[in-house]
Amino acid sequence: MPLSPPRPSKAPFLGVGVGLRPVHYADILERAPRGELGVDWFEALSENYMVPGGRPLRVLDRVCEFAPVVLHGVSLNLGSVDPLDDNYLNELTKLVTRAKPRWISDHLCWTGVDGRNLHDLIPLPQTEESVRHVAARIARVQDRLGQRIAVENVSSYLRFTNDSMSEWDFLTAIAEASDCGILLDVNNVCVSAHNHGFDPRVYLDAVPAQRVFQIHLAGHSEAGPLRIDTHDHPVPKEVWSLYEYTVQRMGPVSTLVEWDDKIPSFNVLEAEAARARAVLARISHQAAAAAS
Amino acid sequence: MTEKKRSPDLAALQRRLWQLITAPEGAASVLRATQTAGDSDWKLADWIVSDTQLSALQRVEVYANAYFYRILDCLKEDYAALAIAVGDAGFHDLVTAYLLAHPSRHPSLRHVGALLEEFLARSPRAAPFRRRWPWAADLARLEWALVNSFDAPDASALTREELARVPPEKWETLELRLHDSVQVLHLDWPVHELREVLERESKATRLAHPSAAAAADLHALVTRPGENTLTPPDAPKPSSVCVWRKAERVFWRPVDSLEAELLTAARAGASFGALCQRTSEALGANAAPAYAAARFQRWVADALLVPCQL
Repeated sequence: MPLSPPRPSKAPFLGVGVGLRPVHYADILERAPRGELGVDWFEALSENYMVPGGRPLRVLDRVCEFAPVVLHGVSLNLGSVDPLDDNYLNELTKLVTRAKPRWISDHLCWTGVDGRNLHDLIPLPQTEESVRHVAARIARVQDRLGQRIAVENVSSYLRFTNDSMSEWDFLTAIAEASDCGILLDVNNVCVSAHNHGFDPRVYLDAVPAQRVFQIHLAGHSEAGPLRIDTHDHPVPKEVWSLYEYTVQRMGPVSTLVEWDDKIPSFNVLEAEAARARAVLARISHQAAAAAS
Repeated sequence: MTEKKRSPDLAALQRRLWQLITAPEGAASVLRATQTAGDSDWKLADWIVSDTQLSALQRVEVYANAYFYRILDCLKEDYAALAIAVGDAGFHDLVTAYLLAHPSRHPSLRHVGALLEEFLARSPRAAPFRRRWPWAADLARLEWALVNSFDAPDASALTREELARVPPEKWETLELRLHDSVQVLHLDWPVHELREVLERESKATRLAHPSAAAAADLHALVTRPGENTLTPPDAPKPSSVCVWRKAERVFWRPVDSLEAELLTAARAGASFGALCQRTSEALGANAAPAYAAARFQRWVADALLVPCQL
């Protein structure tokens, strides 16, 4: 069945959002009706809402009434040699019908094999074999969901000896072969650049801007010589700088601040969102001034 | 032979990495075993890059540590009282053995603890834990029931107004329906007392699935360094507990054996008349009406019932 949704380049600009996390439910639900939310949209972790009922789904329903929502999964297991998980796709389809997200995303990685899950985002060998394998699976998922999805670059701590291309060429090749969108995680680019010794700006220059649905910003930790994608800190200066570089190149892209561990009060998330919004505004003004 | 030729294909690579990441004794021990067996395909440097900063093994170990501790943290949230009652080292050992027997088969971490009670109650591998903590399977069952109640399917509760509209002649055959979140547990050990202490001392709401931070707070509140303040039961004492959800919050309370029997019968579709008949048999015609009325009113107030076919 041919796909009919808009081109990825037409992914709507939603402004700056944050991840929807249970610890903030009360704050969000109390302030939204008063128009006091300092964020423009929310990203819900699909798996948290793929449940029969209860508070998570009720909160999601409410949030969908007053803000755009995007579904972000961690378990599509796009890179695995296992068959695609039919039950997971059925549950995701039900959730999509309920929440009507602006788009759906998951990760360019594998998360389990032989039906056993690692609950982690494990990198793939960057080879032609992987490109063919993953692109075909993304295409099947898109057919099943009836819409393009966005795939996110992951942070990684190891590389394979048979890598035959850079990570940015790998991401681009898969996105083009499957005609999917990209969720560009600038923090993950920063983390992996440090861990594997490449220039993050070379990566960001190579990503096809017309396919980028969304940007992720987050904080990371240091562990010996590695940086680890922990989402438990404010967005660091280096990531802000790479974000500014990305927006200068690509223009305004929907941006989301992630914070998943040691989660601070919602005010702190709003302050991070405000900072991202200021970057977007500044660059838009600069572009407008240059054009005039 | 070039390095590329020695690299495993995608399926072999994923299976090997899975084994290295999940090995309870560590990735290094898997590699030593394969070396001893003369299996040169597993030579890590042939397929994972080492550099001056970190060896291939150290890089794999980043994932191995994250795997175990991510699941451990999740199970500490789901089994908050059990984790405290058996102590940090005990829970660590328990989760290690559990994952060996039951690697996660569901894409969502929500389900990773689904078989812990069964493991503790019946697995031969859990025999040492059963000897140390004979009450642990019951506590796991109670805490998992809280998790299941939290996100059980939604249904509106039966109201007093709806009941008031039931014609008197229909009460006898009125079929009661319990909300899907309602579970009746029969426990050999009084483990609900542990959960009670946990919730009282932490002033926690009876909400299953606290955030990771809230779970850490709970842990800090009821434990002191080197001290375990959740004292496990020292003797069996059969009891029944009802777990349910009302207005998005999960509750539980001990119930007497007759109420447990009536709730179980209601779950199976018994009529109101049949429940009254059973109550009368158990308590006698004089005491039965007051007992049945009190319990029924409480079931309605607690939102245990959903609208039924009149």
